[in-house]
Amino acid sequence: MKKILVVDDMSELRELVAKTLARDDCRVLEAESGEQALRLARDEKPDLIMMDIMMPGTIDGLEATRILRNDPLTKGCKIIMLTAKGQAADITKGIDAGADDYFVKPFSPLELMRKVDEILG
Amino acid sequence: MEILRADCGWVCLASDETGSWELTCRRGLWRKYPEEVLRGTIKHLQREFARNPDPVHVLSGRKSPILNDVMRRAGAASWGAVPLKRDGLTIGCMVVSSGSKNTISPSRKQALEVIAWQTGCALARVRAEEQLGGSDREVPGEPDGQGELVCRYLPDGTLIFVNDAYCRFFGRMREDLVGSSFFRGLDERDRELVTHRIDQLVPENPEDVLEVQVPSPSGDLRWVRWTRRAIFDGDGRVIEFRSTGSDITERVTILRALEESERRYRTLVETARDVIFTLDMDFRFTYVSPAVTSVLGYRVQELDSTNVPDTLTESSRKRFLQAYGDLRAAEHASPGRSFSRTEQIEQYHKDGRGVWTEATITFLRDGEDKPNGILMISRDITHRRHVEQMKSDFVTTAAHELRTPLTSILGFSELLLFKNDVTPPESSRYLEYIRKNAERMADIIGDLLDISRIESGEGVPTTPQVVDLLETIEQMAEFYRQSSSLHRIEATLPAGPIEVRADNDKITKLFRNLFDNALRYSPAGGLISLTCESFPEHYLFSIQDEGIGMDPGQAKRVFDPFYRVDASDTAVSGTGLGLTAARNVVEALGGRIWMNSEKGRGTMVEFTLPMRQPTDCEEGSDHEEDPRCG
Repeated sequence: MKKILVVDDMSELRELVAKTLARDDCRVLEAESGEQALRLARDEKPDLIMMDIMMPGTIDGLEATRILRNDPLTKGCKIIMLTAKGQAADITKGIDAGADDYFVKPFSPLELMRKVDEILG
Repeated sequence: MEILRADCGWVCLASDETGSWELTCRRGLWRKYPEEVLRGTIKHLQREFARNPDPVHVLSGRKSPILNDVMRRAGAASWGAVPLKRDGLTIGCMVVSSGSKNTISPSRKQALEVIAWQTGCALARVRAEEQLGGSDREVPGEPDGQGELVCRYLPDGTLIFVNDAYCRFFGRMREDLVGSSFFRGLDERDRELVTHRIDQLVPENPEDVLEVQVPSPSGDLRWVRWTRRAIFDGDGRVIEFRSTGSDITERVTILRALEESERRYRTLVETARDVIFTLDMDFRFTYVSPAVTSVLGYRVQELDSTNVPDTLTESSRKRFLQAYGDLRAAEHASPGRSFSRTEQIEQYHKDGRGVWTEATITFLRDGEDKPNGILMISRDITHRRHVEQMKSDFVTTAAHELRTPLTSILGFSELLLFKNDVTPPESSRYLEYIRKNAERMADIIGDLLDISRIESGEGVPTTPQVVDLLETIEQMAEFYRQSSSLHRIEATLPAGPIEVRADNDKITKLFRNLFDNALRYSPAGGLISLTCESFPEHYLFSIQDEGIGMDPGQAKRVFDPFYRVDASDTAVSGTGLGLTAARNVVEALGGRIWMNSEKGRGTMVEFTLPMRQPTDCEEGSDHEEDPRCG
């Protein structure tokens, strides 16, 4: 059973990603802030994290990614970032923070599904 | 000299014996100019004109570094020197100068050239006359052949002699004129000028020059320039005056036209909001228009002999020199063709900050079209750059803001179309998401259109009706309580209805904008409270949060379109239009909106809306619904 953690401050978008990735062999967890995401990631050690970049609070998606990458407990999990900022500089920032891949909003659920299949094998 | 507005003027002519130039006539006061300096200057002038007989002028035309230096040391800030020529030979020169800058302008230099030419003609005629032996008392004068007017009169003005030209000029017989008064026909001002000046004539300085207007036989006024010499008895009392006059009407007319045209351009230049500079070829300011005070904070005099590049920031200096290089290259490629370059440069304000200006530079040219200075027109574009920056920030945030609802619309519709495990309840929920997000996009677009209408001065179209805000606010508070579990939301409202006359959609959006802002900038667990108090004629609404707050500088600008407290803040989305739209709605309804904010403590937005008065009469369909109207 694979575990996927979906991090987004908007419940509607969490639902969209969760539904997109829902499969019989997968469990989808949800977090609505960076802080919550860090807690869940340490406890559950998901295989994949879908990380929204812009989130209110003290830890945004970039910061959360950096922390996860530096934590021996979580540095192995794959991170795909979801960002509404599509400029090259923003993407570079995400990759520098340690993301494995990125999707720019609005994205196609079908494409996201294919990408996740590829990553999870 | 008065015409040329000079402080000082002199004429020097070559001496018949030695050939060296001597001062023959000098008018005006020039404290800094003792005789020996003047003699030295005249030597320089003679040498200069021997080398090159063209006029020399500090601003336009030919330049002479030596003379420039000599004149400047003597205190002349603007000056011009033109040669006097008799039969093509340079026999001396006329010089006018002024202690203040730009008085002797290029057009006044031209006037001086006209006078010098006429003087040259007169000298040629006098010489011819002398060679003929002076058979007639009449002195040839103006080029049109009309002779100079000659007369003699007693101190009380009684004429004792007039020549033929004088009789012809006034269209009267000699018998009528002799015995009459020299002052007749002069208007009061001229008469006063003439009689007043008499007292100033003394044996050491027996001559003066007057320009007066006299009526001609045809009735129009002519300008006559009288050169008057007083004749004294042994006790120094004036016996009589001998005057020679010439009709200078045409010359005065030309000079007046010149002056008027110069005045017109000067007004144009001095009232322009753009700063107009002229520079010499070493980039020193030679003229600065008064607009400089409002743009750069300097008074005009403070920039005297300042070098332009010194007033620019490092990178702008390079750009300015580059632009100048382009001008030079263009001039080299096709000499004499006018060419200009426009560059955005940052100039230092007197208080040290940078002011962005759009500077256009082009060459000023002398009589032969050779560049002899630079014209630079600077427009303050600080505000424009600021607006451009805000607009570009806005495009980024608006694009982002539209992306969020689009993500839902595209995402959920694709799930509905292609994913086969969507249950019926999910499917209707997804459709609701799609509809709601499409509405959100329509709202954003509506905001944008409203703002562009307001920016272009059109105003927002409203369809006002009586709205009870009590229900609207309660529903909204409930909605936000449910959708945002992270925040606490409290609404303290009066018991009765909150009735205002407003456009329902717009007033609803106003409250939504304010709630959105409060939520957006508040931490989890923060309290958002809305209150409404009623006053006799208005309601006072207040929405307070415990969010990140703002410093006073930011709070001052939040109502500006596209302004966002921190455009780089990746954690907070928004178009920067919400508060602008809010202000527009409140003000359109006759209310006021303001904000109190403290960095780190939170923000409170307050606004008033006029209470709907019982006498308010509704139009159209509202009429029937409101029993209080009739």
